[in-house]
Amino acid sequence: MARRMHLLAWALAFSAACGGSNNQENADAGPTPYTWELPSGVPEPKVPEDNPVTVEKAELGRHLFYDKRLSGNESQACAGCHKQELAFTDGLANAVGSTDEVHFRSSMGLTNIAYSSSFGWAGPSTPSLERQAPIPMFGEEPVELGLSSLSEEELLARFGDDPLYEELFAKAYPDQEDPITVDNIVNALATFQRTLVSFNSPFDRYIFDEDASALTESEQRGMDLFFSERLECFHCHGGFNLSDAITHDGLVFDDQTFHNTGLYNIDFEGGYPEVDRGLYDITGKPEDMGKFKAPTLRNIAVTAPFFHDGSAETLDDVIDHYERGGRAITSGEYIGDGARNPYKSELITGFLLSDQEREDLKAFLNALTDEQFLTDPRYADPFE
Amino acid sequence: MKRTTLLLATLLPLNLLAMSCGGNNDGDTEPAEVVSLEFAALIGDDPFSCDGTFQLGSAQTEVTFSELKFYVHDVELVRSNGDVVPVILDEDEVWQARGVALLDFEDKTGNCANGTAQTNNTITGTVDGVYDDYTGVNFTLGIPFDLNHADVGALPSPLNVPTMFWSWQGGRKFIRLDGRVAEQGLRFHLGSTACQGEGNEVTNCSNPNRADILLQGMDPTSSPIVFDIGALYQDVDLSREEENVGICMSAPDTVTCQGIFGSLGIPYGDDAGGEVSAFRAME
Repeated sequence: MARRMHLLAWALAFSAACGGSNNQENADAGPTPYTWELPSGVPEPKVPEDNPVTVEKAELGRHLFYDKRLSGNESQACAGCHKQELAFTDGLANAVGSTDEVHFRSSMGLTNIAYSSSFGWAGPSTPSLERQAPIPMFGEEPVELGLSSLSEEELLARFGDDPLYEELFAKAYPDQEDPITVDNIVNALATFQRTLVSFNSPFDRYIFDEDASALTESEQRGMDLFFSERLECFHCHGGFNLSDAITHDGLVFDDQTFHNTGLYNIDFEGGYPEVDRGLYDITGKPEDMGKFKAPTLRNIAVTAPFFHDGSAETLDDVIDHYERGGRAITSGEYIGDGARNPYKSELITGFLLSDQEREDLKAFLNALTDEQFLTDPRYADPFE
Repeated sequence: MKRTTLLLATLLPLNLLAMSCGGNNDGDTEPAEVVSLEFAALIGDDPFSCDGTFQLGSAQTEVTFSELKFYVHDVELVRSNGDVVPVILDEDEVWQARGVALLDFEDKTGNCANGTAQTNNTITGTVDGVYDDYTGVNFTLGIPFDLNHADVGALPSPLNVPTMFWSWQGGRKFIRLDGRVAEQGLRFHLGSTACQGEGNEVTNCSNPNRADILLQGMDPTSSPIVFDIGALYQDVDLSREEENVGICMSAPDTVTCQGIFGSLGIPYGDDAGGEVSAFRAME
């Protein structure tokens, strides 16, 4: 629909211009509006009015995303923890920042991050990618990119002295006299991330292209299990992005959701490890203990280890957790039965799978991998 | 000349309205009247709330609530002479679109933290003609088949509200009522089941599970339509020592669903459905 509106607008613009000379095409064309490549049935992402997505801004953002100069000691880029081949995760249980400080959380995947209604694992007050990007850039607890160790002038000089960036910034922000600013860096990073759109898995070909051969019989049986009331996976991982924490262009209501899945119960009163108690650490409300965002399950198979703290190594471990209706930890400092966590989502009640059903479910989860997304040159390191 | 055009322009939509309406069409163009119908969600006499506890079911078991939303469509007003007047719902693409309205009683406070702050207890529309003798209201609980199974991306709010998504084949939840009973989930998700089709294309659902509600003896333009959650669960014993005692996800074979479907008049198993007790006039 929106695409059709664009077409209409173009047609009108052209018809209005008819009669005049037609030689101004190349002069001062301005940034190129980005064209979303989405299956029919998938809405466009919500984009802030003051930061429209353009081809040139996404290209600037891609360079910045892969540039180690965007860390205090120039040792790490955003891509250090968000690797394309791992759906923009890093394969670690706990992320490691530019100063080798270990983060208490696992790197969040960036698949279809434009559709997320909140950012980070439990960030109700981080409503946009523009508000999220400064957290890893400048945050000190923990240090991620460590840019707060620089002055703004020092940071901007790294790019201002480089003819490549002079050109990239000028093309992305042609109306600005001095476009190399922190705001423009943040907006370009947000824009690049918004373009990280993945709808080309076998599951998508089955659902959106109606290609019945796109999924094997085992994958189809796994899909039926996934979308069954018996397993309940889809209540939090449903809809076109397989996540209930979504927003898009056509949504009117702000719908942020967070769930306690019964991973811990360390004091037998629902407690989570003090280092990270999820939404509770933001709101201080007891009932928010251990609540985290349900991330999209697209490309999930390449994002091990799993959960907010990387505490499940394999998909089997994840399925064990949900099959039991919560994780039992039988020794060590986190001992406790997560299944009896009083703050656990009432949707997680457990189920029992046969060996074949477990294989089918895993086959389906693997069919959510979009190989094209993991290798798409538009999302790849421009310096390689 | 100018006046004629203007007149034509104003008359045209009315003519269209008149043509699309079944009842009470005596040839003349009639003025359209704006109507608004209020819904109230009660548990017996008490209003639904995200805070506090309520007694529910045949054993008056203690419960709390964390979510209540439902869709209605095909709204008609009934006159004292029995004539039925369709309500053409406004299209604000927030709470109403494509002839479907969403009623939303949770406000993101208390237990409803995973909700939305906005609420809606009123549907608005126009009827063809001005009457003062309404004695009843008819509507269908749910979303019509075509819209229910259409791609979410193609549909405006409220048809795209993510918390009302259901499975790929089932379409949307018609009602979502969540809470807790005895440390377990209390959940009623009404939707179509036993749907057949390929991939995204659903061709038929054997259990559509839409409820036709016909309420008599009330003027819905001046008195609220009551959704009585107490009556919804009146035949369900929530104190049973049974896992998932508070759960009805429209599955065709549970005791809890049987009671709930009965109070909505929806056919269930051998029960042909019929009388509705969960919706009523304000007493």
